[in-house]
Amino acid sequence: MYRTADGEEIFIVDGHVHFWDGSPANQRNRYAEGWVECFYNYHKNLSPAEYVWPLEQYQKYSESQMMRDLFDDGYVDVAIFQPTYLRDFFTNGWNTTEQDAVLKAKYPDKFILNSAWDPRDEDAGLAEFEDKVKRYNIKGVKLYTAEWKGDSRGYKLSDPWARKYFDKCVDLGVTNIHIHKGPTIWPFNKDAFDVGDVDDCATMYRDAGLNFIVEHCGLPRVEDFCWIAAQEPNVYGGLAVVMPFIHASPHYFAEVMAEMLWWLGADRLLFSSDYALWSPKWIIDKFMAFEFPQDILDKRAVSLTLEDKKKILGLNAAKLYDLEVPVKAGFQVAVPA
Amino acid sequence: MIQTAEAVAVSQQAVLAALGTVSDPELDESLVELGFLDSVRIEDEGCVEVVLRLPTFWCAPNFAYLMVFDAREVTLRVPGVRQVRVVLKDHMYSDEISTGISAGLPFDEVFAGQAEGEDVGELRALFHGKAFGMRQEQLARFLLDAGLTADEVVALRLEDVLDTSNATGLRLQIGGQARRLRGGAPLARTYLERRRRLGLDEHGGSRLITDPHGQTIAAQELSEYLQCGRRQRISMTFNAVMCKGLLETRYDLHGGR
Repeated sequence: MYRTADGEEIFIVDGHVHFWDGSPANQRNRYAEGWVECFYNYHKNLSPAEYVWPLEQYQKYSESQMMRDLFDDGYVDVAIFQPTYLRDFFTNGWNTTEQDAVLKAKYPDKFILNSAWDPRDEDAGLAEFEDKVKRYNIKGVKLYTAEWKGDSRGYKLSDPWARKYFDKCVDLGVTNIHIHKGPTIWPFNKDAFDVGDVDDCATMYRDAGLNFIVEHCGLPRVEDFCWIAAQEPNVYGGLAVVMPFIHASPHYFAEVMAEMLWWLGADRLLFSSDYALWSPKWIIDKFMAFEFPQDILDKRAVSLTLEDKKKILGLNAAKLYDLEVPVKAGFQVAVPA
Repeated sequence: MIQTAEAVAVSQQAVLAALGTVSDPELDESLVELGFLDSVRIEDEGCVEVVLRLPTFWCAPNFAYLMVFDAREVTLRVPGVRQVRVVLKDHMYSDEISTGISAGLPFDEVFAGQAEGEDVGELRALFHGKAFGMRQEQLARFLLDAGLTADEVVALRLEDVLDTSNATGLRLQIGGQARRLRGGAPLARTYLERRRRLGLDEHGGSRLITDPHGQTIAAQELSEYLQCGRRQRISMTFNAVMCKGLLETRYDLHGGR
């Protein structure tokens, strides 16, 4: 819970966190090493100096470190695990549902455990997915369309097998589909980071109740993402990677944020730190203090009120995941005169 | 020393100037300005080695290929150059790209079996269009901020652009009168260059501000039309900030952002 100077309480849901293992013992090949190096540079480049960790700590951090950074120091009430398997690079996977489930079992109220699927696993994967959903009571998945698998360099959400998995999500009540569209792996085919395939499935599964949260807002194709999201009411923007720019390049952050608010509005944006890429505390502190500079307001008629910030920081995710929000931190109810 | 007629000494400056014309297609900025040029070494007998570096190990192989390809092409055109080896360092496909391009291989052969149906020519054209949209939005916004009406902006023809040199600023003919606009010359030059790349009509009577296919834009639609260019500009500049920052972090540069 974040408390403003006026004593107002803000419910915080961190929409994207990891408990990863990038230690050398878990690295299978040079791609794993390149992956960790790249992640570490994102962390170093965009974090305030006092939040930069040594590489060794970053490769593998402890449970107590994570609990402190998120829940003691970082204001977070609930954090959503978004697994990323990468078994072609890491022996035990980078950050799997099974690894995350250990913490979920220990702190059931602190975490939401999401799972993942890959249409290239076809029938066997479908059965395994169903099993995980039932075992862990899963409500959301994270899809990594650029993930390497054997000779394959990625897949598209419009692939026939992806349809079967979406149908399965509908059957099982897994309604929140988080799609990674952004760095780090840059897929081979330009179409794999094109957000066009999100457009197709968002339309197709709108009536079935699926929500599509595009992580990293489709960076580096923000322009296409905004355009698609404006037309699809069940498409949301996950602000991981976008938010830390608030420190390193505040003016660019403001510019991108203005676009997001213009095209999607404050009801369809979700805060996330992408922990341990970045730590939530400083992002939330800066976001709460953030105001649009005048030159941006001159060009875009947008606003970001305290109510908007509450939605982005927690209430939108709470709605998607049916979380109970303490009354004081909820939406303000207009009192009839 | 006796030199044969064709053995011209290669100038380092000429190579650097040539490389300065190569852009990152995704960011529409020169790779030299982005810091992607690691080193240039001129060897005997007109052999040049160009070393490039990128912000991450994972940077998109198709864009990396295009930059390395372009770097080789422009360097080969420098007087005296007979052979060019472009090395892309610290990349997941360093070997494939460096070896493939130095041998003059097309993209689908460099990545045989991996890049299904990828057409780098199409990709390049797509990004030329985006760069055009971004540069056009900057120029049109500048003109509107300088006090031109939407009617005046969409009515401008190529022949109304009288001068784009830095010395005089941007000189335009607006409603039969010449006007000088301070600060707009570089924007106009860049836009015209991106426009030329799309192959639009170069006749003096052609409209200056059109869509990427050369279709005119109605004054009342200009503002909405420019939204698209605005999105492209914000996306490209945001990516550029990210790439520059990552490059600085990766190679411990202290250029300051």
